Amino acid sequence: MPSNTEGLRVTVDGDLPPEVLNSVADAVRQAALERIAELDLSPHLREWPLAEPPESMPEAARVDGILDPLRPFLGIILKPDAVE
Amino acid sequence: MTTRDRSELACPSSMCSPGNLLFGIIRPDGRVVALQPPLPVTQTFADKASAAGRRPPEARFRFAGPCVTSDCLHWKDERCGLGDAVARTAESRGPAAKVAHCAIRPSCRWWHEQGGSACQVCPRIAHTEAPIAEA
Repeated sequence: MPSNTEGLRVTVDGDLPPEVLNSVADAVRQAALERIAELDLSPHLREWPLAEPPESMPEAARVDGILDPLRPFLGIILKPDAVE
Repeated sequence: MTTRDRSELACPSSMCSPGNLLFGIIRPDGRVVALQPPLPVTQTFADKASAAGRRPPEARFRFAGPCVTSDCLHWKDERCGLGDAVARTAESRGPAAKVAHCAIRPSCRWWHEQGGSACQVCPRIAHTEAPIAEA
């Protein structure tokens, strides 16, 4: 079994034609993708301010004041709630 | 900027769309673990990852896709404003550490514009927590 710091490598032994090996590789990739699609490991996140708001601002307002309903749309910086 | 055509650069915070690359999985501690090599997103994967009852794939994974430049709300002054913000965040954290290997770096918009600064913070970034609105 791989340790938690390693990936998983699949090896197919045998003198097989390249097209067969490619087919096996495609099947392995597809199976991995299907399993990965079900993963939900990440913590619940909230937006992390790109620029720190004033310390004097109440915590709730500091968060809400940063969130913009329209932006950002593509990519926001988040941090786990747990590290609050 | 290198000689690479800017239009060829990839967004490292793209969406779960067929043809994009799945290059990271967000771990329970919020860090992104890189897939080596990245896997192309298929329609089957996109459908399954976006199935009802699941959090959006962009909250659980990282995807790379073509940078859409001015079609993105982050595009500012002919560059990626999000990449700028990411780099500023990295610089506010102090001296840069060695950056990890990244399969998309050669074509990454943030790398081309910010160098290793963006790479310092990139593994702590998720695209979104909320479902993506239809364009």
